[in-house]
Amino acid sequence: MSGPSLRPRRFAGRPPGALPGYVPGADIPTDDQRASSRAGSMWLVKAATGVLLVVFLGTHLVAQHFLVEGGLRDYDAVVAYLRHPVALVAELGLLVTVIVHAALGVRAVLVDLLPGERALRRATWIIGMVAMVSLVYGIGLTLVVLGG
Amino acid sequence: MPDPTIVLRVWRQQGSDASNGRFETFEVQADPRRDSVLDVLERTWAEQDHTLVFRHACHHASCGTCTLLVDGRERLPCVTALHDVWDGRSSMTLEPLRNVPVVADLAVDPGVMLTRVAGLPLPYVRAVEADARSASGVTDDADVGTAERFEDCLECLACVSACPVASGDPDYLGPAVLAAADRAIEEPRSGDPARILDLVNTEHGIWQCRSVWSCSAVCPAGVDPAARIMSLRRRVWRGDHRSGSAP
Amino acid sequence: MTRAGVRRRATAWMTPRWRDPGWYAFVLNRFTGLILVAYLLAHFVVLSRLTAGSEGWNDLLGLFGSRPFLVGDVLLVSAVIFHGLNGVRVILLTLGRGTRRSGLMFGVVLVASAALAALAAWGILFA
Repeated sequence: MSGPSLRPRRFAGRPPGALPGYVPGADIPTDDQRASSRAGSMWLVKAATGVLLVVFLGTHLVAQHFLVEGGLRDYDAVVAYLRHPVALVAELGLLVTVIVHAALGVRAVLVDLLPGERALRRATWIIGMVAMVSLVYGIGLTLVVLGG
Repeated sequence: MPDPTIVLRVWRQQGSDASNGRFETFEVQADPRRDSVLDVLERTWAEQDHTLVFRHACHHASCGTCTLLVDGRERLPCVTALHDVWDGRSSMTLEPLRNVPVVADLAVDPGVMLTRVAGLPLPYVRAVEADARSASGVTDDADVGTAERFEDCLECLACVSACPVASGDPDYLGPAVLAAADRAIEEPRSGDPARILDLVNTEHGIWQCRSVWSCSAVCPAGVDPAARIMSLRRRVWRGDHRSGSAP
Repeated sequence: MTRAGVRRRATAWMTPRWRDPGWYAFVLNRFTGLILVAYLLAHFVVLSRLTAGSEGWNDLLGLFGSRPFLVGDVLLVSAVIFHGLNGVRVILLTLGRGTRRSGLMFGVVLVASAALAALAAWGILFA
């Protein structure tokens, strides 16, 4: 719907209930209910994960870089850190929160850049896949490190 | 002392295809103390080029017709004093609004946006927030009724032009329509608030907004469309005017 | 609706709006966000080194502790700080707080970001 044609048009009749001044193509396009509530929820999740990230990311940065000599954890220090249950929960919480926030954020940028609904749906699917893979990878990596 | 000369760069374009457009330069006399930008444009048309296409009507910021870009910023040239935007030396650039189809040169076609606003519907009068009569001590005046005034929005489409989201998404309803929707729900004179909220509660409606706030920054009438878009979001989250269908 | 000489529709949001704080906030938020997503993916790749055991991981520490990397860390932390503070600003605006002062709020975000980033830089580079 990129604007009305400026050639004079034959008036083909006004739909019932149309208000005075009706111009074909000027109607407001509608979503289905699910898409609308999804859009609203996505914003809320993005905001919530953003706020949570202040806690999780702050904790992560302090724990990883300001609690050890030299600012970088060597292998043993990493394993020792992850062995603490609270630390493990914090790191996994960070993993989930950051992936969700990043995925929603990238999708929001693509909504503006992509030309149409189909491209957007495909991009959303790809983002979802990358997010899932990253999540599985992150959890797997944690288990491997804890195990070894 | 003669009036200084201003170098005016005006975008010329035939029809809605911008690829044949270009800037044309005029030198025109201007009095920074008295002239508005529109005065300069009209003088250019009158004295140098009658083929210049631009819109103007009320000349006092009521009709929202003359909106254009002055040095890249959305303004109403009828009330923009030349001395506010011109340093006396540099050239001044006039371009048509962004994100709205161009008819020719500086004139744009606001048809789709205006019709959407009218279709919401947005009535053009509203109750005044503060009653001037009570402020002046007049009470118990049953004959006068509720004081009314015109809606703030001039439908000048400066907000639509300023919005970077609108420049990327032609289906975005835009700040003008969304702000009108919030007003139509806030004061529903003849409309159905539930239906209006459903109309804008979409991916290309209120959820497309990226909180840039450029719309409110350029609005010449104090509509603050950005705040109204946020207000619509809160209406949805609170579950106001929930229509019959389950989410 | 495109104009000759103006970037095509998809990147039109990059067209500068000088003296419009909202535009700067929007673009900066986008850029920091995208940079951080790129860093996140790179970070995942780097972390895979943990599977190579003690030697595999510890070999990297010298590199990551080097000056250029620390400077990069400062830039990344600055991006996080700005992105987070501006995000809070967006949340406040959406809740209807300070809607008439969105530009001022951006100024506050910038000042706070600079201060916190300076603090982080001191911590990373000199402490």
